[in-house]
Amino acid sequence: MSYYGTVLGQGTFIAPATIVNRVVAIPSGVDWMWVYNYTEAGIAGGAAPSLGVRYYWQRGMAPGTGIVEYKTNASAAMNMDTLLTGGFTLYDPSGQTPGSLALLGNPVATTASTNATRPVVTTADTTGIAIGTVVRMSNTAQDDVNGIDMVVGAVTLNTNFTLLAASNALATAPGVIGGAGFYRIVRADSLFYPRRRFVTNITRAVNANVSTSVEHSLTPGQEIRFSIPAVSGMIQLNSTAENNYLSATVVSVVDAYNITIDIDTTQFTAFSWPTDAQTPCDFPQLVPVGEDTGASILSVNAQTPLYQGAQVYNSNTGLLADSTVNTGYLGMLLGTGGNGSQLGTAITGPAGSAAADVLYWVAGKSGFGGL
Amino acid sequence: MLAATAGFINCVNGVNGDIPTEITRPDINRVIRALRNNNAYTIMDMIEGEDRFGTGPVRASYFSLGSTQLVGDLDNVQGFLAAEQYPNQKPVLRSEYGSVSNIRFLMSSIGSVSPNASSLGANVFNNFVCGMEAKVKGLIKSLLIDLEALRGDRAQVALATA
Repeated sequence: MSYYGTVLGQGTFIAPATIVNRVVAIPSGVDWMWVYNYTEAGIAGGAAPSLGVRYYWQRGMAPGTGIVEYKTNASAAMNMDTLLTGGFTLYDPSGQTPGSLALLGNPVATTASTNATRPVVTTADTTGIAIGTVVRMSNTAQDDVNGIDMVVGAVTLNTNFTLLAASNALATAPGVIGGAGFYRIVRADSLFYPRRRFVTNITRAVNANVSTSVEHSLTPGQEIRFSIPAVSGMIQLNSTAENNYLSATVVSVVDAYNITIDIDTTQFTAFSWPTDAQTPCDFPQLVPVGEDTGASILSVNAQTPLYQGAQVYNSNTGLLADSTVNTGYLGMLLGTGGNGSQLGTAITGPAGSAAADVLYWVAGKSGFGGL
Repeated sequence: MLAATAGFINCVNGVNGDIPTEITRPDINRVIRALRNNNAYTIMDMIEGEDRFGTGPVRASYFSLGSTQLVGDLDNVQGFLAAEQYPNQKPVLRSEYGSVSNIRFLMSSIGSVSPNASSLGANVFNNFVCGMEAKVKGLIKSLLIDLEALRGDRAQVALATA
């Protein structure tokens, strides 16, 4: 295979046990990219999903697409198709690169939101929404939900989706029905880690459980401070001169949306999420402020910041897991595959087909030409 | 970094019907109280008044780093003193727009923006108010306040605590 222009970079990676989107950092100006699944190239295909072997992207292709050559039906013969989703996505956190992933999706109309601790949002279009997708509501009657990034906990195709999971539901329902509005898919997190997060619930316990509206990505030992507005009740957690500028330490990570802290909140005022009637107001937040190395040492093996199952890009591990890092990069998101436009069924993506697959990639910039 | 790692407070005292509201003097006062309650040192010394018409003294101040989109909104804030009305122009920074109470506002065309982050889906403009030697995390020597302000009729005051 010969390449035209300048090769910007090449590399290899091994697919993990669970195939997830793969980040490949590439200097700006990438115009084309090839990905080869070396492992799948050497074996016969399977029944389903079809196994992608070689992938190609060129600037101008829609995000998430790409050309794929694949094997199927226990055959070594190669077929060609285009991926509808799960292919290549050019990534630029500044959003300035033409054709790169839009960091914030277009507004999509919703017709109703229920008055519940996990509001169910009715919409005729759930394109791009899956469990774990982050969305931002607006223009509904629920002013205590609008503008707050929340994870999607359940989806019914082109009918509705549910904000938040069972484990991080709002402490208090909004108090009003949402009515018509919009949602936007949020595709990028804040550039720097660790990040502040909105707090949806805090229990009253010896080691209080804190729930966040999106994945917190924190690790044990992380030191955090709270900013709880008066309307949310548990203001005893706020850092004040009276409590000697209280800060909490993450004792354990329960799941992606829950942590326990080393503060006994059993005697504190009960926490509540601001209702619509209590807006405009501040919203409860946690803010990372440092690390308790003594606590971190106790769980060194758990010191890996994770977001959607993968380590936060450019983050450190071990005792440096809490260090402030810039997670931004220019490059490509390799997807896990999707339906082929001609085949109509799933084809594995450039992130890998199976655990332990060895993949090679090369990316470059053309010397002339354009889209 | 501040936009990602700092906490914030919303402007809630305006009348634009959105959340956050436009920036107002009570919102700025909240920020200053938070800074002072946490013993944050001001960055700039006061500018003493002089016998020059149309000028006024400037208090010892923290800096706010924000977007030029808020230019008009700041003019409407009670007690706003434009930079050209300072009694002495020597300590005025090139990007400085003016001051309100203990905050001097520096504006940039690439100031922080949170797109479509208000209740009505409008852009939210973040203002980071810094005390001396403030850091977002780690060694905390002062309190960093992040003001988020929404352009036009909307303003959000973001308060970053460090």
